[in-house]
Formats: sequence, C-alpha cells, structure tokens
Amino acid sequence: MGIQFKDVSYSYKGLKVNYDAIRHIYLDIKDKGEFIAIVGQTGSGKSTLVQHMNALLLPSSGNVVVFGQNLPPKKKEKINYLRQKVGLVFQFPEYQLFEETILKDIMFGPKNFKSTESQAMEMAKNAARIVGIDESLYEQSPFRISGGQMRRVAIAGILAMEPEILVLDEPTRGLDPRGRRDLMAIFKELHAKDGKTIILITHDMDLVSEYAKRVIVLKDGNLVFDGTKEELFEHPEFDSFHLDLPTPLKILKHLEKEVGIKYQPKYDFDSLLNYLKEVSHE
Amino acid sequence: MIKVSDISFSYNSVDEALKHVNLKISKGSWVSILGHNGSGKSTLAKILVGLLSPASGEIYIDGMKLDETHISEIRKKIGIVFQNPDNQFVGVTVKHDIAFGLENQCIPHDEMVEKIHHYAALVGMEEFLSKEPHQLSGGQKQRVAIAGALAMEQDIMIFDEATSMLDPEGTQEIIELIKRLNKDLSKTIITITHDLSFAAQSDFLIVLKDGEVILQGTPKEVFNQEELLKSSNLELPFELSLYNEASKDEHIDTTVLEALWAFNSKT
Amino acid sequence: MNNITIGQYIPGTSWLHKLDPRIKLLSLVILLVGTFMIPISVDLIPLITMLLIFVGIMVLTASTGIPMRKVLNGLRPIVFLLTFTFFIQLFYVRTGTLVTAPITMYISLSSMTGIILWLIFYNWSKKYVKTRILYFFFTAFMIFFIQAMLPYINFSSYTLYIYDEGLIRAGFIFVRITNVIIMTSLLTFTTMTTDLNYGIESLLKPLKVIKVPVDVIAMMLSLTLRYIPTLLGETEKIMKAQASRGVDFKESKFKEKVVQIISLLIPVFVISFKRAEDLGNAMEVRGYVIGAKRTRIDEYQIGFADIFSLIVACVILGLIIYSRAIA
Repeated sequence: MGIQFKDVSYSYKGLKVNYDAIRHIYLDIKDKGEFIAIVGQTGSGKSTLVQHMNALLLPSSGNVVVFGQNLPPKKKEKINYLRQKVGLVFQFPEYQLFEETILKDIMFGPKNFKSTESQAMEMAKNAARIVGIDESLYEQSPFRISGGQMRRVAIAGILAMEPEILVLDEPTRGLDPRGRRDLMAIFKELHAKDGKTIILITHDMDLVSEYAKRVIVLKDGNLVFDGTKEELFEHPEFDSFHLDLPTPLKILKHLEKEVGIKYQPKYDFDSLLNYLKEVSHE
Repeated sequence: MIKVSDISFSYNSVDEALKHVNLKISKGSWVSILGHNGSGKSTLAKILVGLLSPASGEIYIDGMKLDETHISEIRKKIGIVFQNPDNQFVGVTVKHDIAFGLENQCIPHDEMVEKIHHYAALVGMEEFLSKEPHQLSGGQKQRVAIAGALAMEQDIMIFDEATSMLDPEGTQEIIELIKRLNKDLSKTIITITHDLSFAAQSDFLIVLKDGEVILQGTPKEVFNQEELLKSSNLELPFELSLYNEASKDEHIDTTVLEALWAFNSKT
Repeated sequence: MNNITIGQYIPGTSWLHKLDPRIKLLSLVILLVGTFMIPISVDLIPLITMLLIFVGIMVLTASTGIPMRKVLNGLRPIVFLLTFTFFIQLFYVRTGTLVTAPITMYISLSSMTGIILWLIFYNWSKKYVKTRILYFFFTAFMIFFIQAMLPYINFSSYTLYIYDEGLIRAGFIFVRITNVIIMTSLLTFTTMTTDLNYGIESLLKPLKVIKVPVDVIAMMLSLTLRYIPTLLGETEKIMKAQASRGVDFKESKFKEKVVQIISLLIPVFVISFKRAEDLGNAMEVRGYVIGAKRTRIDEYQIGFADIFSLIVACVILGLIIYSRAIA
C-alpha cells in the first residue's frame, strides 16, 4: 500500500506559458513507520508534490498510486475517499475552522466520510485529546480561543478522520518556540505509538534534524535527494541544494572558522557540548 | 526618546492586558520587546502608535505627550509594520502603497514621486513599483510596508512580529533591512518578537509576562535569567543555551565563548 | 505567484489606451445613452444608425489592436440572453408581411427525441469547436429546424409565422445588445483598473454637492479591486483545505452541499473581518482620515485627443436625438 510516484510531472497553466511545478518524480512512501521531511526553497514544488498525495491535484503526466488507487483515475472512479486515508493539513490550518462549536468542527471531517453522528463524536473527542484540547472547550466557539489552540483544533479536525498517512505543510509556521515544541511532540507521539507515517514540509532544519528519519529535497521541481539526514547534511553537494544547516552544525562550522575547532558533525545539544569540552581539555 | 509611565490597559475591564508598565527607550537604540502570546506586547505597540488609549498612565515621545490633541504630530514621528503582509498593503500597486502615507500628508505630487523612488530603491523594490500585491512574496510586501513608513520619515519604527508569517528567506531579508535602518539611518527601532535569536542582536531587551515587565536589560543580562525566561514561555535559542552551559566549564576558552555569542550577530 | 491581474486590461499603445479615463467613461455613457435612444422600429433611419454604430465599433476595435476574438468572447456570458430575445421577437411580432409560408412545428416523439439527441451531440462536440458562440446560435436554430422537420408520432403542433418586421426587430435588438457589450468591453480592455477607478471617482465628484461621500466610495472601490486577487487565492486555499476534510461538490447531496458552502463562506468572512480590522488600524496609523483632503500620486491630463473624442461622442448623441425629433 502506501504512496508511489511514477515519473510524475505537474504543470500549472499560465497565461502564456505553462509552469512546471514538479518534474519526473519517482517516490515510494510506505504506509507505516516513516517520518519524512520534505525540504526545498520556496517554489521548489513541495506544496504541489504533497497535493498529489491526497488527490487534490492529479499528475499532468506519469501516475501516482495511493493505497492501490491509480491517479489520474479512470472516468467514473470516485477518489474522494483517498482524502480520508491521507490526511493533509495546510499552512495556517486555523483558517479552515467554521463550525459553531469546536467539537462540531472536529466532527466535520469524519461526518463527510459517512461516519454516524455518534461515531464522529467519538473520533472527534479522541482527536481533541491527542492534540491537548480540553473537554471544557468542546462547546466553545472555535473563534474565541487563542491562535495556537485554533491550530490544534484544525489539526484535530484532520486527525479525527483517522488517516493512515498524515501530511503537514509547515505545521509550526508562525508559532512561538514553545508552541512549536508542543506541536511536534504530538506528531512524534503519533509516530512512536501507532507507527503512523508522517510527512512534513518544513523550512526549519532544526525540526528536520530533530524529528525526521528520511529527508526528501526538491529543487526547481526536481527530486535531488532522498535519504537520511546524516547523508543529507554531510553530502558533498549540499550547497547546491540551497538549504540551511541545522543550528548545531552551523555553530560547529562557525567555530571552525573563528577559533579553529575541527568540524565534526554533532546533531544535538549534549553531544555538541561534550565535544566542546573534549576539545578544550586537550 | 520614548518614556512610558505607569501604563495600564484592559480590553474588557476584567483582565488587564497591561499592568503599570514603565520603560524608557533611548533615541537611536534598537529595543526588542519579548513575551509569550498574550503578554501584552502587541497591545503596547498599539498604544504607542495611538491606536489604543491607555486606561491610566502617560507616554511622552520626544517630549510630546501622546494624547488626542497631539496624535497627528505623533503619527509623524512613529510608524509601525504589522505582522500580516497582506492586511496592511493598501495600494493597488507597490507605487500606490508607498504613496498612501504621503497622500495622507498632502505631499505635493513631484515630491511624492521622488520619495517613492528613493525609498523603494532603499528597500530593493524599485523594479517592482508597478507590481500588484498578489504578485509579491511575503518578504517583498513587508519591504514595501517598510518603504512606506520610511517615506513618511518617521524616526521611530515599530515592527510588531513583522517576520512571523514569512518564510526563512523573507525573514532574513527583513532582519537585514531592520539592522540597516538602525545602523545606517539611525532610526529608533522597536521589534516585538518571540524569536530570541533575532532579539539577541538588539541593544536592549524588555520582557513582558502577563502584562508586566519582568525583565529588562542588555541581551547578555537578560539571557542569563534562563529560569525567568522559561516561566514566560520563552526558550533560549540553542546557541545561547549552549553559551550558558559552556560558560560554566572553566576549561572552555573565552575565545570559544565569544565566538558562540558572536554566532548570533552573524545570522 | 498568480497569473491573474485585476480586471481585463490588455496592455497596448493605441489612441484609445491613451485617452484620459474620465473622458473614456463619459464618452461611453454618452454613447450608451445614444444607443438606447434609437427607437426600436422598422424604419430605415434607426436601422441604418444602429448598423452604423456597429460598423463604427468594429473600426474602433480594429484601431486599438485588441484581437477581435477577445472582444467577441465578451459576448459569451450573454449568449443565452441574445438568442432568447432574438427568437422571442422573431416569433411574437405579427406585423408586416410574411417572409415565408407559415411553418408548422411539431412537438412529437420524433422531434423531441431529435432535439435531445442533438443536445447530447452539442454537449459532447462543443469542446472541439473554435467559434462556440456561433455554434450555440446554430444549435438554437437546429432546435426549431428539428421541430419543423420531424412530425412522426405527433402530440401537438403549433404554427410559426415569420414576419419581415419580426426579423428586422429581432436583428435590431440583437445588434443593439451586442453594441452595448462590445463598447463596454473596449473600455475595460483599454483602461487599467486604477484608471477606471479614478474615472469613476471623478465622474461621481459632482455628487459631493448633495453630501455623497465620493472619496470614501472611491477608497472602498480601490480597496475592493486590490483585494480581489488576494481573496480569490485565499478562497482557493480554503476550498483545498475543506476538500482535504472530505468536501466534494461533485459527489454529495443537496443538504450536504449547504454545509459545504458554509464551510467555505465562514472562513472567508472571518479572514475578511480580521483584514478589515487590521487594515483600518494600518490606514489610521499612516495618517488616513476619512474625508480629509489628500493629494494624489496619479496625475491625469486632458489633451486634444480627449476633447476631440468627447466632441465626437456628443455629436453622435446629438444626431440621434435630432433624428428622433424629426421622425
């Protein structure tokens, strides 16, 4: 099962010329156990790519197979059900809230996929619990809570559909450091507990470094890298990807340049601190 | 210089958004106001530009009292760039947007044209004068907002989370621009942010929590108070936590520590 | 980012592009009034006038460099209205002389089947046809033709009387509507929306005398124009977000559709209200005071071409009024 991309390209029709958003993408994503970060400069095609995963966009050429469903589909085939299997959360998802109460809004997704009222309520309450929305807020208007809470309600709205694969487009954009940490903890937990495949679009290399098992790099619509984060950050052609390094590595490069400490990749706080101590005690 | 004395404000007469806030901002300095969401920092910004009236207390800007009678004079001294690049872009094109403030001040036509070109060039948007906002990136729109404020030749500029909605590239653009405004144009800059890496580069920090000033001082002084910062939902960025921990080890060379501290000014 | 530009402006350097927007707008209004003042009749003079106007507009269009195809495409939205009015006039006017013998039209099993088959064919084949508007007219004609030709298994029939006056009147109204649409299209194709805005504001200025807040209306118009592409982009994003939650306009019942539309409208409203608040703040801080005097970055000058065009338009109107008076 999972998602497979076979020579997928997508062009947007412009006024005069067509704009190639993604070109000849080959990708294989398993439906369990993956934690993938999709990175690349703005305009590299990341958003276009993930919108193929829940059939919001259909390839201009090539085909995508999502949980066995071939896309583009044949004439009369219904594909809406794929949106329940692959849950996609856009940037600033709080804009999608509209219902009278928070619980009703979270129930919207499940109900669209034919859950009964009581089933949907069960799924909604479950999702609310996962994102940390307290029972006392269930009957509140979704517009009377803080921005951070609104975001969590929106994400709960997707989680309530119980998707098998979760795709998130910059879920932490605009959040303060604490909010970022809390939100990522939720995804980490989902991944750890149920082995749910999580796909994250992000610009934040620190997020990539801390949470991702696999990194996919897009550049000008092309897939230029698919591997582990160590392979990425230590890649000889890293500069050509136009990406930032995660902070620990940036610090190490900076220290090498300023005080001559030999560069050795260390990815987290403790190992970096220990390395500094090691080097100083010589 | 800005003198804020005992300012209190409440949105709904139950919870106080600001409680007896006192602070001074000296001319030409770059001050960062830090705080968690809901700490009152945006409220303070709105009061400083006269959008909200404090329930009590007084504000003096360059010796002039901030009140109804002086508001139009004050608006010539202090400008603000808000968080949402789309919600402050008034004009149909870049040119029209920069012109907006000048039109309000009844600046004669030819002078307007000159100023628009000058300040658009300063922020690097001169080639974009006829572009419409939906053709611009977030960073570009914020640059236009800055050009508009510069065109009004206000000495004091407030940036209320001006980079929160931007991608890293856009954020970098704006940060570089803000630094130039402070260093090259001697503008008094007040940045409201929760990005401590960014705030670390300013001259002076003020930390708000639940409407009160709980900490003020130079970055070094403020970042030393890691516990206090944590209690306001502010986390020291990686490099500064590292700096704090590393300082505790006497074997680690001061050159290394200095390099760690300087890491910020580079970014 | 987006390929949309506000409005239908097509860049160009023709004389029409260069005319002052106030003059263009004023001339358009004058010509529109004139066009409607030509009485619907079967007399020679009104007919010739209307046709002359049509020819004039075609010449105008050619001189602007705007492709004829684009201009004619502007008729697409009202193609149904055009056809409908044409046929109504054609069949209900019973004065004058018959053009052909009365035609019997059959509402029969064969003719209804024929029409249904034709419509299916039309629906399928229309994407292959370049000149869709003409194809539409042809289809409308076919619907009647089939009724005349297939009498088998008849339920009922009626008779069609085509009089010459009916034909003339139908043609007259057809050309009139076409003229009005094309004239207006020419304006929007050759005038930037900011200029149009300025033109409208200027023409409304006299209303200030009766305390109409023209400046405010102009600012509201300008802001609306500025935000249309932005709102469209945001609406699209919301549609995608809701689609990701299972909203599917194709595969759902009516009751579900209502909730789905609400799921689109409410977020757009919320965004717009927040925007209004933020915008109000931003404008206030930048010194905007409603109703206060302001200078303008855009400058417009009236030249000879403008005065000449206006005079021509007035002359045309004058002639039309004169011809009405003597008739």
